[in-house]
Amino acid sequence: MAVQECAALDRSTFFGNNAGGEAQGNQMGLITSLKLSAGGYSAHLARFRHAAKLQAICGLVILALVSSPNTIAAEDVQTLLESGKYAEAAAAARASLDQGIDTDHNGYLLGEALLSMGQLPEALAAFEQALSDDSDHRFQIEVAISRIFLLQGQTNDASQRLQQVLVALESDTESLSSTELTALADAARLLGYDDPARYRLALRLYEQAIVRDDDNLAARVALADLLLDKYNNTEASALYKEVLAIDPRYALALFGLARSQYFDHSRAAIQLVRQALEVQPSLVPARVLLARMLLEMEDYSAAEEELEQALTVNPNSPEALTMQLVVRYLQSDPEGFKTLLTRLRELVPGYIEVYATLAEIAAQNRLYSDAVSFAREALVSRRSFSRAHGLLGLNLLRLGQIDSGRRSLEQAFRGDPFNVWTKNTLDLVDRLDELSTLRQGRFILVAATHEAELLAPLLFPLAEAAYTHFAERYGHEPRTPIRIEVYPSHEDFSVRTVGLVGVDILGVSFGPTVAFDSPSVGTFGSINWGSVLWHELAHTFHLSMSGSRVPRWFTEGLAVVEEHRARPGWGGDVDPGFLEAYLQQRLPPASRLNEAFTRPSYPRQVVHAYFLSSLLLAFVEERYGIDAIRSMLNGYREGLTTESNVSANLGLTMSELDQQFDTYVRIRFAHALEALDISLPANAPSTAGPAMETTKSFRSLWRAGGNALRAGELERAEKLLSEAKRQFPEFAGAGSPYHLLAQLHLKRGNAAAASTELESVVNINADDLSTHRKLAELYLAENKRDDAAQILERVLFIDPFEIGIREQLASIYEAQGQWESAVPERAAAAMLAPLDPAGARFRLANALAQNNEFSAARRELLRALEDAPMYDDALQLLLDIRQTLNQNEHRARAVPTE
Amino acid sequence: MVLPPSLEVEVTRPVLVFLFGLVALSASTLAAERDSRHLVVVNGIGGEAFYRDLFHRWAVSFMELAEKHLNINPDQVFYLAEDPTRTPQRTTSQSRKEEIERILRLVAESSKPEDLIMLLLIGHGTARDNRILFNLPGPDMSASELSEWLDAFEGRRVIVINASSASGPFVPTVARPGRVVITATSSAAENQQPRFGGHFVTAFAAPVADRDKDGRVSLLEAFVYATGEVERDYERENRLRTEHALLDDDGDGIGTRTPGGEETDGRVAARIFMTPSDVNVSTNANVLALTVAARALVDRIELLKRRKQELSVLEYETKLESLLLQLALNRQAYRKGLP
Repeated sequence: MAVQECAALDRSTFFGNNAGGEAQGNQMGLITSLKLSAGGYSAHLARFRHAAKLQAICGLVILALVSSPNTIAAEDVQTLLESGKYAEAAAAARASLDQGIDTDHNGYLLGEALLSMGQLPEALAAFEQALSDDSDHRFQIEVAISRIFLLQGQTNDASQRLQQVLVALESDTESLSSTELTALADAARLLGYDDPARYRLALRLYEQAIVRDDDNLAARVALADLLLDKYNNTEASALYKEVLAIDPRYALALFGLARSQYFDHSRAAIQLVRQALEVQPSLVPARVLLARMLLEMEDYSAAEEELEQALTVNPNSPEALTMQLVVRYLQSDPEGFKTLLTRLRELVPGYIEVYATLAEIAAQNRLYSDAVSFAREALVSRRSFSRAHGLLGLNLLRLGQIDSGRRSLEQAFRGDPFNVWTKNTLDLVDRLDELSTLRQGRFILVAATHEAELLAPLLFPLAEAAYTHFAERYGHEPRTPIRIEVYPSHEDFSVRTVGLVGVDILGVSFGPTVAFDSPSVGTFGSINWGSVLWHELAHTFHLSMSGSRVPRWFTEGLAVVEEHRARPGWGGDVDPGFLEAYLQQRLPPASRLNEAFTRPSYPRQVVHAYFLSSLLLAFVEERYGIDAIRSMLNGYREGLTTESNVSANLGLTMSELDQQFDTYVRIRFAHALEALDISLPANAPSTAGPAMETTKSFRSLWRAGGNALRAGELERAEKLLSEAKRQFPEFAGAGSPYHLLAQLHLKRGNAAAASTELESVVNINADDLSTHRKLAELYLAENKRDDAAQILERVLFIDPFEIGIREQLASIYEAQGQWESAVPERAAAAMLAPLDPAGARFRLANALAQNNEFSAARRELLRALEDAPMYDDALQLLLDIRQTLNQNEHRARAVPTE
Repeated sequence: MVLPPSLEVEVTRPVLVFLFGLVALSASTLAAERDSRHLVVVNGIGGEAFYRDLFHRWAVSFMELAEKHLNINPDQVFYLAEDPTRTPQRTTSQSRKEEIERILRLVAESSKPEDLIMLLLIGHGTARDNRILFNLPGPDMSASELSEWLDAFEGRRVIVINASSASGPFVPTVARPGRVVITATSSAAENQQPRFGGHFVTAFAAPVADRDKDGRVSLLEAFVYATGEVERDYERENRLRTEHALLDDDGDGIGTRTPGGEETDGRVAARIFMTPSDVNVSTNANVLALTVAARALVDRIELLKRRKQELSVLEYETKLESLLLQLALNRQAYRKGLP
């Protein structure tokens, strides 16, 4: 295999007449190496180590196969091993051992080569044979044996050996080589499972190893791996890059960087892992990571191909077998899952990572109950497995089991205090105690104490309405109560969602728990939080119906459809950027929509993917009805893939779906797609004038209209903007033709026409706070109180904490004698730290009294007058209320009792 | 904490203050009160036209307010403007450092002990070479220079409001027993142009600023109103707040962002009213008696509030309501008794 790979290389690079400098150097190097003795070759190879490694390795492969066995030194066997030529390395090491050359080193290398091919008993025998007290590789061999013990479930033996290795630290460590220090660090790291203090030791030892030998790239990568495993991605990533600056083809660093990018959800991860595999096709963990990423994109067949390749290298690879197990799990193949799990446990009974990986992937797929079960299984194998405690805790929290989740997290933290996910989440759970919990009907609201009372009257009725609506629409009722967590800090919400700060999403549904930022946070500007709640509760239904197996694109798209159906303006809208991305084919086809969610290729791709998914689900509902959607959700529960689900319920292949959906989008937005001049860059400088108008594209009309408006050319502006609006009526984003036309009408003093334009905006874009406020203002100026109230009621879902809105709404209700509606608004205003607290309480008391709630009114008046006793209006009202209360009491006493 | 005798009495013996206030309600006393107040408004250098106009507008608004609502003799209002040609009829002189010193010495000489002197500084401030400055045409004025000039007001009540950016460090330098110092910002680092001044200026004419509904806006209420409005401005615009006003009136040089309540700062400012009482001047004996009775009821309410923790909610509310109902009837009779 290796020879074929080498033969496939451009032979002219090796033997031809290439006169290029570097190529010439490589060519000379190889030719020279072929003539050199083994020891001389090693020194020579070092010169090429960071440049033309592949060519050099090929030379070694040829040497290993064509030369007499004793011509290859242990260093060269190691190079073969590092480059993933395990079979060749094993052959060469065996040959050297047969000749009695460098037996301890070659014995160790043989063990490593066999281990990399999954031949555990043979590897163990090789290691044990190579082990002697005076071996230079004693520590490496001990650590390797311990690794095998760990895989075999001999935890105590492994632990004892590793601790024995660390005894070396009690003597003078100055004489230890960089490689030995690395081995000691590896030992410390493995012991970290049970004793987290060992991680610090490992860190220190890796650093010492690097100081001792700047060229020890393996130590740098191992240190970066440790940092990444402890969630310090910034430093890990920098270290990998450092290594790659020295040797751009260092496969383990490329793989490490891929892991680091994967950690950051960056699309670059997939390219990096492919690069690592290009350099070293036999790098099994890289292939497993690639398979994992492909699974996230729902490309099961490609993932399985990768795993097959990995298992060809190492048929017993626990990582690859675990990922195969994941495939069985995600495809709902219980029999296959069971068989494979049994095999894996027989092969590597001590490989506890299997359950942790399953728990992680279950959680990624929102299968939180399964994640809990897997984490518990992992703990059965090893009680001290901190990662499993952490996974258990996080997923219990997601299921709303706060107390047991906290206990698990505390245990995880004791075992691994470096884990920032655990630390952040524990801090968050502590802060949860400071929040208020209110319960009403099917829902529990958890929010900051000062916000809970204000949010409850808005969120509880909306949540109930959503539940009733979805229950009927889907014919399904998820378990209640459902927790609604509203976080007063985006960092807390972020930790709740992913365990780390900085997540860039508005809300999340874990099924029985939904969570989002408080409207007071303002991280994302003006947002309609009513629509966010509706969206997240839609997910709760989809997750419950599908047994949490619905793919993300499906549930996101469907949740946006639900928003669109619920209220005017809710849910994402089409904008020129989306259509341009669609026309430029920067969005994946329907069959690969998950890619845009899991590894977006440009910053707004996720936003566009939400809308595209919603169009796809709208298309499905229009063509096949809600029953098809219900049936697909059930299909996912039964383990159908999207492909089989589409086939079973829509009668389409995936390519037919792609084609039909593309036609649907192009027909639905035909007018807008035609109006978009996609050759015009989105940020092209705006220039007014007839030249731009001649193109008649939406953007040019819009810009020219805006410029004309600013220049005071109202007639021309109206013509251009009206045409732009006609071309793309769905667009009501910031500064849309509607907004500009409203400005234009206001300049002319035509408030009614301006209102009409702004009505269009709010019916498309429910997030636009300033337009809602402006429209309410215009309605009030026209004395259209009902209309103004309706708009302000919508505003409450954008900014429930704006006192001015509450007071305005209360005044409208009061003017119309709607005291029952006025009371909650006056109560909210009194809670919102008014500048005039006594005045606010008096107005609340007045509304209560008008609504015949005299006792409550009296109480509010007492509170107002406590701080403002000379408040004449309040004193007068108190007198009136006391009179009424006395009369009522008198009447009550006068009623004869039976 | 040591307060000058005149202020200490007000803080610790409110009943006497109220009675004193009542006795003071005669036409001649009102006139005396007007003559005992002095206002000095200084507009610093504006720089951009926007700020020149804004600062001028704030200054003129406050002076108009002072004449209409604050019971200050117009002859005792001094305006030191950046550009004296803008409103020559109102302007005393240009706001150069030496002119400020001259006017303050003039006011110090013409004022009497117990008089109230308010100095309002509107403009930009900067921190330079460890000195905190109020920017003026010509050389700037430092906090320590101002403090030194204010020493001439020994025995008078002095209110300094520095509405400029970076004004916070004026508090430790200017604060003394007997002085109320208000700054628009809490530190030199808060060097963006603050909005506090604009809201403070309008507070005295804003009914909502009168939190205790006694018909008058105290200095503390004006401060609370202005800071509340500032907070709203920043919230409304979704901007990070870059100004936090301070008030010091206990003379310790440590300003408080939220004076009043349990804080020692705010107790003096709560009893300084620039607006006259809404209680009409009357020689009617019945009206006067009702007013005295009302004050007594208010004092009893204050005493009851102090015992709130000792009483059950029901008991407290019943007693409070009883007092308030008496007060309500008193106020009804009072209004009927007015001419």
